[in-house]
Order: sequence, then C-alpha cells, then structure tokens
Amino acid sequence: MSHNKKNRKSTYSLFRIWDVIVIVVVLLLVALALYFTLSPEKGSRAEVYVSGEKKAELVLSKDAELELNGLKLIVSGGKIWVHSSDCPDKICEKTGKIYKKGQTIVCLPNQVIVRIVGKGEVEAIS
Amino acid sequence: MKKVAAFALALSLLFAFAACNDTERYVNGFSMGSFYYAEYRSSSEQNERIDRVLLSIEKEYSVNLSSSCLFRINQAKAGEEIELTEEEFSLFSALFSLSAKTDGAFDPSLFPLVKAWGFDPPFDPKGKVPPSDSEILTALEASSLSFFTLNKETSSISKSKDDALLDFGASIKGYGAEKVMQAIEKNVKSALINVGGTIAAVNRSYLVGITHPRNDSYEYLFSFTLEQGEICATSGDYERVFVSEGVSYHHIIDRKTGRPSNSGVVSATVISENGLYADSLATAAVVLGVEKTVNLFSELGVKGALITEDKRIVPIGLNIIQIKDSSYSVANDAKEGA
Ligand SMILES: [Zn+2]
Repeated sequence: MSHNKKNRKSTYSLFRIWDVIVIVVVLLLVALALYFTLSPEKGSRAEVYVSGEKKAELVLSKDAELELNGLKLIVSGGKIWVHSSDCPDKICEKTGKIYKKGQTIVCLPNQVIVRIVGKGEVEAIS
Repeated sequence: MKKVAAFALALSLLFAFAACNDTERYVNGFSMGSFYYAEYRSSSEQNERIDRVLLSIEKEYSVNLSSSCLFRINQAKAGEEIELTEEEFSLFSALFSLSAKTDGAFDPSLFPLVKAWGFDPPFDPKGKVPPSDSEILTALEASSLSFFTLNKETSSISKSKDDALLDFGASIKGYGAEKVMQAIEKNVKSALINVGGTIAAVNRSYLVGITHPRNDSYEYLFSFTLEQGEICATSGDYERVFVSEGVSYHHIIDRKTGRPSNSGVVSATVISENGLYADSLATAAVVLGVEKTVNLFSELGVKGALITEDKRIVPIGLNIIQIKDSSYSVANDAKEGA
C-alpha cells in the first residue's frame, strides 16, 4: 500500500514539472515577442538620404566624416551635424548637432535629409 | 494547466504575428519648396501613394511650375478667365474666406509684397536688401484679394489687375499633410506625416516638440501631445531670414505695414483637424499678436500655443507637457484668462 502511494505521487509530480517547463518556455516566448514589439531600438543611428533615397547609415557611437552631395557631415561625441555645405541658404549648417529621434537636418537645395533612428523624447518637431 | 499553456502559446504566436505583420516604414522626399517624410506602421508599403499625393499638389499649386493653376493666374491678364477643377475651386474658396476671417493677417494675395521682399521661393538670403518705401507701396497696391473673383457657374477665377498675384505657400503644407492622411489612414496602423514641419498624427497620438525660436542648441522649447487625426503647424520669425546692415528681416509680412510683422509673437503653433486652418492660421497668429489670436482661435475652434518676444508661452486650449528652457514661462491659459 505504501509502495503504491509513493508511485502515484512521483508520476503526479513529474506531470507538474513538465507543465511548469512548458509554461516557462511559453512565457519566455511571450516576453521575447513583447520585447521585439515594444522595445525601442538600442544604438542611435543617422540615416542620410539624397532625393528620398538612402545613401548612408552612420552609427552615432562611432566618430566619422562623410562627404555627400555638396555636404560634409561629421559624427562625433554621439551627435551628427553638417560641418559645411555648398548650398546658398546654409540652413543645414545652422541646424546644428542632432542626436535624438525626431530630429532631422534638411538641406533643401541639395535635397538631403539626415534622420535619427533610435530613442527620443519627442517623436517629431514642428 | 494544459489549457493555460495552450492559451499562452496562442497569445505568444499572436504577438509574434503582430510584430511581423506591421512593419515600421519610412519615406521622404522634397515637394512644395520643403522636405517631407512619413514614418508609419503598416503591413503594406504606402511610399508611392504618399509621394504621389505631395507631388501632384506641387504640380497644381507651385508658383514656379507652368502646370500649376496659380502659375496660370499669376501670368494672366486682367479679365482673363482661368478654369479651375472642382477641387481647386473649393481650395480657393476656403482660403479666400479664411483670409477674410483673419482680417487679412493671413492673405494669399500678398505675393507681390512677398516678392518685393525677396521671400518668394527659392529663397536665398545672400546679399538681400530690404525694398525701398516706394517699392513696398507699389507692391502693396497690387496685394489684395479684392482683385480676384471666383465664378462658381463657370468654375473659374479672374483678376481685375494685371500684377495681382496669388501664392498658397502659407497653407499648402497643411493641405498636403491632410491629403496624405486621408490617402493612407485606412491602410496604416499608425503614421506620422511631416511636411516641412507641419505634422499630422494618423491613427494614434504623437509627442511633438516645438522649435526654440531663439536658441538652436535646444532640441525643442516645449512639447505637447498631438492627438490622433490632428495636424499641427508652426510659423516663426526665425525661418527664412536675411540680414542687411545688421538688421534681420523675416518672411511673415504684415499687410498693415508692408513689412515683417512685429506683434510680439515670434512663433505660433496651431492644431486643428483641418490642415489648411492649421497652416494658414499659424502665419496669421504671428501677425495678429496674442490678444487677437486668442479671440480668433476660440471663434474658429482651433488650439495652439504662442511664444512671445518676452519669453512667455501662451497655450490656447493646449496642454504643455515639458519646457526645455527654464527662462521661458507658461502664461495662464489664455482661454480661461480672457
Ligand atoms: Zn543646406
């Protein structure tokens, strides 16, 4: 009698362990799916477009220089800016350093847009 | 226990599916003398649709393209009838009546004056000097909506003065943002449309920052939530500026003086579900100053915020979330104060 009882108990606990494993795995999957759905992107990047076409992508954590379509772009200290441009209005130069999502540099005469992809406080600027 | 596990599995699959299905997408380009971009979530690409809407508006309303109805009107002689499509006609009517409501603070017929100042597109500040008093006077004489007549029966427009000119530059970005919103709202989960700083929030709310009018080193001066379906536009005296003999001149011309406005309002943001209203009224508010703008906004049912020369932020039916520059302060909600 005591043998029988012991046996039943061990199969019961085996079932429980598998249930727990399945649930833990599924919950991990849910967490993973949620993470990829909701989490913001980690490292900030700058994408550079000319006439609507993406021409370059720069990681802001790595210093760099880029000459493109009359503009000289500099990445340093986690920020990007137009160092110089051959455009008449120089609005792109005056925009200064950008580093947060929602910020853009626009050079209208040269049809260049620099856009930050990553984290930000606001989603756009008017 | 197994039921719970199965449910959780189904839920996780659902999330995984949702994550794959609605992709984050982006498109940008140039139209109507400014940039545009759209960030949107959708299972299908909408880039072409967005480009098409904005490029066709440029073709129709640019003052520089011969395909545009404005180009034809501006070239026309007095008495000549220029035919308009149904859509063009209703846009003209809307802008003419809006101009009357602002008492000419927003005025699409100021183009002769805008040209005299050299603020017509493409703007180049290099070597610009302000026009003389007599040049301003001559341009002012040609700047009036009363020279234009809309004829509903023939769906056409004519003018009674050869050198009267129209320009929709102060309104067309808002019009474009609204048209893009209408074109894609059924096909996207959410979208942020930005046409030269005029922003539309499609199918969800967005946190928006307003440009600091005096200090470029701030990412923005203050932020607020742009609700789903709303469009916001900002005009300021810091955009399109030229400096001559140490004096700077900005592009928002007050028809009462024929010169850049000097109302104490240096930046105005307007929020409305009507893009034309948002864009046109932002210009009007910079000309009108605080008091008149507060009255006008409540009359027209739009929200917004003004930034004044003396560093006040005046919200009009708007909830300011954060101010970045502590030397600026929020004035009591003008609507309640009035
Ligand atoms: Zn530039």
